[in-house]
This record gives sequence, structure tokens and C-alpha cells, in this order.
Amino acid sequence: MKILTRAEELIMLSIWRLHEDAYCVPILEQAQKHSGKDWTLSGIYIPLGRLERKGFVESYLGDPTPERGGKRKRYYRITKSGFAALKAVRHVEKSMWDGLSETALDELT
Amino acid sequence: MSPSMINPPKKYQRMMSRLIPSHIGKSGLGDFDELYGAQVARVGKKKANRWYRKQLVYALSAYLIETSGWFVRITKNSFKTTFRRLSKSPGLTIINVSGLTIGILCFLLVGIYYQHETSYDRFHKNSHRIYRITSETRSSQSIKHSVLTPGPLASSLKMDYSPLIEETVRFWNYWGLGFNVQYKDKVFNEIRFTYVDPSIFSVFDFEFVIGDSENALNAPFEVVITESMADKYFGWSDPIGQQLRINDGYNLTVVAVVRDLPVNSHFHFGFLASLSSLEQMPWRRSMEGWGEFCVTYAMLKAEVSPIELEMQWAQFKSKYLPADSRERIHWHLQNIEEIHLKSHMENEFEHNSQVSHIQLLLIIGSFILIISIINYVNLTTAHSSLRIKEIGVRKIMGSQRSQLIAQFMGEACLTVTSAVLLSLILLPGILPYFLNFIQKEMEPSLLFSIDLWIFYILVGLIVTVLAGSYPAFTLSSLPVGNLFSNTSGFDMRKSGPRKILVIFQISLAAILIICALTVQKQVRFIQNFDTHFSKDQIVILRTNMTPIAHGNYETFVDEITKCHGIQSATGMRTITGFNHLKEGFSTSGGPFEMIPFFLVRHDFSQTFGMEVLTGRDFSRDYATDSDDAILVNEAFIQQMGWSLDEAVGQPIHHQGWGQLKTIGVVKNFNFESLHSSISPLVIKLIWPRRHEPLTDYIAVRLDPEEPEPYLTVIEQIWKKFAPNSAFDYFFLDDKIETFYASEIVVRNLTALFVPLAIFISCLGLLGLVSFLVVQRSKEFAVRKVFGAQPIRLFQLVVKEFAFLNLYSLIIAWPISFIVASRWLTNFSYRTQTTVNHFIFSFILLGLTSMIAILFHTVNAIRQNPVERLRHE
Repeated sequence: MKILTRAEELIMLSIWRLHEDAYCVPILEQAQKHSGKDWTLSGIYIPLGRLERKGFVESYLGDPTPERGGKRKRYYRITKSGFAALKAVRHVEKSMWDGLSETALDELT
Repeated sequence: MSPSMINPPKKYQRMMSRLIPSHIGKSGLGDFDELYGAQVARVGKKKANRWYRKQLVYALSAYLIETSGWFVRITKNSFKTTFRRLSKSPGLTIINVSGLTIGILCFLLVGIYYQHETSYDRFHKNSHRIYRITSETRSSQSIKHSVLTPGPLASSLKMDYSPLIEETVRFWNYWGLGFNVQYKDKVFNEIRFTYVDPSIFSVFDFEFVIGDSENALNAPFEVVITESMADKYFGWSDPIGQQLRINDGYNLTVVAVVRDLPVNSHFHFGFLASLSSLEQMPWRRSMEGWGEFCVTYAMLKAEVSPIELEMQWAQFKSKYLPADSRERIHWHLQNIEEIHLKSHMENEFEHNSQVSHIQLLLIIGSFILIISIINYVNLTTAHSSLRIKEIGVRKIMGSQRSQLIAQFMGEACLTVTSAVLLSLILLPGILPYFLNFIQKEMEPSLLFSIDLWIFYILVGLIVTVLAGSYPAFTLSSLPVGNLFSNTSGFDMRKSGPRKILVIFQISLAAILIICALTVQKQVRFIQNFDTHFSKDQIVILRTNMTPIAHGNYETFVDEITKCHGIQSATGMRTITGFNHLKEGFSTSGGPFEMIPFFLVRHDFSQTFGMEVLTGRDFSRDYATDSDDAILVNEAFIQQMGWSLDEAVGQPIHHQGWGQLKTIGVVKNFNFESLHSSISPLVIKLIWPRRHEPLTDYIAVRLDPEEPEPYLTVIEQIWKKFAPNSAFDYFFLDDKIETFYASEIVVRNLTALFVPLAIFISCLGLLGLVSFLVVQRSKEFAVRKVFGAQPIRLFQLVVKEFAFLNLYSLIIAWPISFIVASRWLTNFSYRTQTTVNHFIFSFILLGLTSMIAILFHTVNAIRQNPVERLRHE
């Protein structure tokens, strides 16, 4: 059983990359940029919800912003167990790829 | 960013805000607004709106996934927890599941039976407007209901009332006596043979395998056969165009093959021959005369009500019937869908069933289901009193009541679903036995028709709701405070209803036991009853329309009786002991009364072992015997008021045959079923000139131990005289047993339900015992501390249950006595429900209840008092 789905992993990494500025819209942009696929906001919400439920990610409300007419934005950051999950996933990936030549992929495709 | 954001249309915003998941909250709307702004900047407002709409669609699907995901997660979770919880008390779960399975299984069986019985004849597309015309003939003594109607009725009705009637069909099947059918070396007597109008295919639905209905049966001497008959006579070869020889007198050409009629049809003919053939027969039976009878069906036009036709009877009768018949004869329309369950007239094609069978089964099935549900409720609530602590903790920890309810319903759901699944698995296995018990047949594929699936699911749902609601709602509503004081405080006041329930179950079981025993006794009584004629030594040969009846009777019988082992033989018009005719007789000027009447050949009394009390038997020495001699039975002379000596020589009058003379009196014998007492009887020799048409059967008296070799001998002799006629025989006692078919069904059913009822009442007892044991565990503990012996405690419990049993039996005995006696009144010859039966039921139930409570009581007694008193 995987700890993280690919979508979840992608989103978590985006959150990490964005540091302070990790709310849904930039997360969406990051995911789109890195995966090259078209994502929708709703498609982000679902894995985000799962991550929150699993406790890998926590959200907090930011300050009221003028752009949103005084409404707050919801920001996300990765929790300790979230980082542990990322670490575990990376570890699994490393061990699975161990011994296999990444450069050979170019020849094989 | 400009402070004034470009906002998407308010309508869209509103919709979106409903679709954003709760964990995102209001921030989500802002996200969409931001992206919308970017879109507007890029591609303009219109396209941005289109983008937003697309986002709405995505949001909607995400919303649905999220909700169903939540749903799935909850059910998966509760499934796991429920399963875990149920595995913690395996005993209880097994008992619950088996109890419910039995209840559901019984109910399903009954449901299937009900669906089957009410589906008769509905496979015909127009069944709701097809009616059979029945006749009601009134005479001074009685009203006779019959399915026979005059031949011309059909065409006259159709002609006179064509706006009302679309089509009519006539059937003529020789009153079920059968036809001799021969093809090459295959010759059989076929009862399922009838002559019909070609319109049968427009009225009734037949599936044609070979050929079609267009021209079938338009010409005389054509026949349509079913697949099974085609197999029987023609095997693999093509039957079309082949000729079947009938009664060794004429041929019918096969013009088509149809599929056999399904089980749920009120007739099952294998041969449909063209009615027009009858007019070409040497013995010309024309359906044009009002003195010839057949079975008539009429299909009304769509939207026509039968009443419209019924109103025309008076006018119709005055047109076609002579004045004196108009009041005596009445015709009625009977919808074919009603025939199977409600029609019991004379000359039905087949023996029909009764509504009372279905009602009985429905009642029993519902009873058993309800009892098993009550058991479940009982056991669950009793068991739960042990889990009060757990419930209390949950409540304190913040479980909402709805969650507890859901928990219990979930338990019930899982248990019931397992029970339903188990029943469905067992169903195909049990169904054949069940069908055997009630002597019915059914096609197993019917088990899985759509209607039945809906039925299964509905039953599952309803049982879940019924079984789960009570525990769910009562247990979850307990005030928390009580729960920690002590475990026995739970629902003290509720033991009353529980006990009543158990008493009810035990009474039911007792009633069933006693009734079953009575039924058993009665059936055995009937089977061993001395009917005063030797029905178990008789083989009956069907000889009507065979060369043996036509002139070779004497020689045939001579040859047979010469054989070793064959003691005697005689000829008859009807099957002795099975059916008989009635004719009008009167004595010295009195009114004519319809009296049962036999037409026989010589040696009748010898063959059947009847005793002639006074006077003499028929004898070949007296030539006039065939003209006017008759034998009567004791019941007859009793009715006439003659003494045994007076009877001999008494004259008797018959309207057509003139004056007849009593030459002897036979000892009473049961020529009707044991449901009726012995009626008066007149026996007469068949007039020589009528020997041929009236010698329909030959009865042969054999050694009952080993009939086989003699039958082969007889068959060989038969083949000598009638090579083209089927050697069709049966044993008389087998035939007579069919009288009691429904009694045998009742016997089998009660035998089946008795162990079930006992089992279920044991379950009920278990429930009660678990509960009481918990309730009184503190009491036991205290007693033990004070030095009470285990045996004494045991006695206490046993005493309580003994009283329960006693109450049940006190209720059950009178009820079962009344029910059994009422049933026995069906028979003129009956046994009695004896004291033995009551005592047996007592012992049986007593023992089983003791065993049921044994485990729990022993457990309770052996418990360490410390355990129980710890919380004081």
C-alpha cells in the first residue's frame, strides 16, 4: 500500500516548494507546470482533503487580503509526518531504482 | 493587482460555493475568483465565463466523488467494526444467523410458491380476456357445476354477439378417457389428447417449433403435437407429414410441432387434433347438435367487460333452448386466470389446486419469519445488556445517538444480509424437497426471474429494518448514569413481554406437534382401513375403444383367468372405488332420486371380493339377469327402509330402463373416498347390446405379492387380441390413494414444520435464558456466598422454565384439540386425537427446552461470586 498517491506526492512537493505562498492557486500552477497535465482546482481539492485527513498536511488561514475583498486565504504546509511520508516514498523509490540504469532509459524508449 | 477584482457572475459563484469541499472552506471561492480574473485578462469575459462553467462541472463531479467516497469509507469502516464485533460473540452470531436464515428461507419458499400458483395461465398474451364458459344445471336435488357446454354454443355466441366476442374455441377430449395412439411400433394410451378448433391458436399462445399457426388444423384429420410427444413417437426424425393411427380406426397427419405447455397452465395437452375430423368419423360426433357437449372458451374483444355478455344470457337461452331447460341451465363466464385456484367442477381437464393451501402456507411462512425476527430482537437486546459498559463508554466519549443507532442497524444489516445470502445459497438445494413435499412441480429457472429478485431484496430490507430497529432505538436511548451502577439494572421491567413471547413460541410448537401427530395417525388409518373390497389385489386395464371391448371380451377374460395366479376378472364402466355414475331410481311410486350406480360384467363381486348377504349374485345361468337384475348395498336398503329379507325381489324403477328387480344385497363397501360415508348403491349388468361401448375397464384380481410375472403374461395375451392398442394398466390402490393427495400434502407439511418450530422455540428459550441469567447473576452470586449448593440454583432456574412450559401447554392443548378435531371432520371415517399425543408433546418440548437452557444455566451457576459482586 502506497503511502502517497502520485497526485498527493505532486501536491505535497508543490506545497514544499512554495513555502509561505502555498495556497490552492499557486499549487495548481506548480502541479500543471511540473506534470505538464491539465489540472483543475477541484482536482486539487480532493487530494488536499485526503492529505489533511491523513495528517500529512495542515492548513491555516492567512491574513485578510485586499484582493479578496477582505477574505482570508487558506494556506497549506507540510507536517512532520508529511515529511516522513515524503522521506519514505523517496526511500522506496531509491531502493526500487537501485541498480537500474537511468541513462539506459533513453536507449530503451 | 488592482484592488477591484473582476468577479465571476454571482450565479456561478453561488453554485460554486455549494460545491467546494468543506475542508477548503470560503477560501476556495476566492481561488476561483483569482483564476477567473486571470482568464478574463487572457481571453476576455465571455470565454472566461465558459471556463468557469467548465470548472463548475469539474467541481460537481469532485463533489459527488467526495460524498460517495465518504459514504464508501463509512460503510467500509463500519463493515469492519461490525464484523469484528460480531466475531467477538460467535455463539450469538451463529444462532442469530441460523434463526434468521430459517425464517427467511421459509418465507422465500412460501413466496415462490405463491408467485407460482398465482401465475397460472397468465403467459397467454390475452389471458385477461379469455373466459371459459361453465354450466350450472339445477335439478330438484342438486346443482351440478360442470365445464361441459353444448357444442353449438361457441359459434352461436360468436355469431350473435360479434361486437363483444372476438373468437371462440371448442375442446373435445372424450372426457379424459384417452385415445390409443400408434406410430409404427410405438403405441400408447394418451389422455392428454384433445380435438380443438383451429381458432385455439388465436386465443391461446403456443410457441411453434416446426410449422406455424396459419393453416394448422383447418382441415380434418390433422394434428399438432408437442415437442415431448414428437420425441416420444418420432425420436429424431421429422414428424411433419407422418401419420398417427388413432384407436386403430383412423389416421391423423402431423402438421406442426409446438413447445410443451409450461407447468403453470390449467391444461397440458400433447396432441391437438382438428375438431372437424369428428364429423367424418364413422360414429359421427357432430358438434352442431345441442345434445353434444364440449369445453368452450371465448375471448372477448378488448375493452369489453364480461358483464356485457352475461347480461345477454336470458335472451340467448330463449333463442336456443327449449322452454323447460331455460330455468334449469345457467351458463357463466370464468376467466382462465381464476381456474387453477378456484375451479373444482366436474370434468375439469386436470385436478386444480385450492386457495386454502396457499393461505395456509402464507400464514405458516409469515409466522416463522416473524418468530425468527422476534428471536433476533430478544437475543440481541439480552446480549447487549452485557455490553452496556461499552455503550456507556461510547456515549461518554461523545458518540451521538445517531451513531449508536447506525451501529446497531449496521449489525442487524450484516446479520440479516448473511442470513439472506445463506438462504439464497440453500434455496436451490431445498426447493426440490419442498416441491416434493407439496407435490408440485416447478421449473427451477423461475427461481431467478426478476420479480423474485426484487422480492428477495425487499425481504432483506424489511427484515433488517424490523430486526434492527428495536435494539437500535432502545439501547441507544439509555440514560448514561444507570450504565455503570450494575449490570443487572437493565430493563428489569421488560422480562414480561419476553416471557410471553417464549410462551407463544412453545405453544405454537406444541400445537404443531399435536396436529402433526393427529394427521399422521389419520393418514395411516386411511391407508390401513378395511374398505371391504380387495383394492390391493386389483389391476385395472383400460379397454375402451379397443378390440377387446369390441367383441373379444369373453375370450380375452377366459384366457386370462386360465392363467396361474390370476383368480378372476370382470369388466366395468367406471373405476370401482374411484368414480361412479349416478342415475335416477325410484321405488314403488316414490320420487326419482339420483343414486350411485355401477355398470359391470359378470364375476364382478368375485373379482372385488364383495360379499353377497342375501339373495344371489349375477349369474350366467339366468339369461334375464342382463336385462333387469340389480344388486344393491346395505345402505340402499336402509334408505328404502327394507329389511335384509324384504329386499330380495323388490322392484326398482328407472326412467329409461323401466322396471328392475333386486336379486341380492351386497355388504357395504367404501366405493367413495373415506371423506364420505357409504352412500346407497345400485349395481347392474351391462346390456349385451351395449357391451362394446360400455366396457371401458377390465379389473383383474392378482396375487398382490408378485404381480410382475402375471402382468407380463396378461400383456402377451393382450397383444394377441389388440396388437395396435396400448397395454395401459394401473393398480387400483394407487389410483385410490390419489383421493388423499391433499391430506398427504398436509401431513408432509406439518412434519416439515414441526422440527422447525421446535428449533425456533429453542432459540427463543436461549434468548430468554441468557437474559434471565444475566439479570439474576447478582442474586446467584449472593446465594452462593451464603453457601447455596449449585444444584439448588439449577433447580431454581429449571423451576422457572418448567412453569413457562406448563403455561404454554395449557394454552396449546385446547387449541390443538379444537383445530385437530375440526380437520378430522373432513372425514366420515376418522381417528381421534389421543392423550398420548398431548403427553408426547409435553415430553418432547420439555426435553428440548431443558437442553437449550442447560449450557447457560450451568455457566451461570459455576461463576465465581466475586466477579459479580465486584462493583458493589
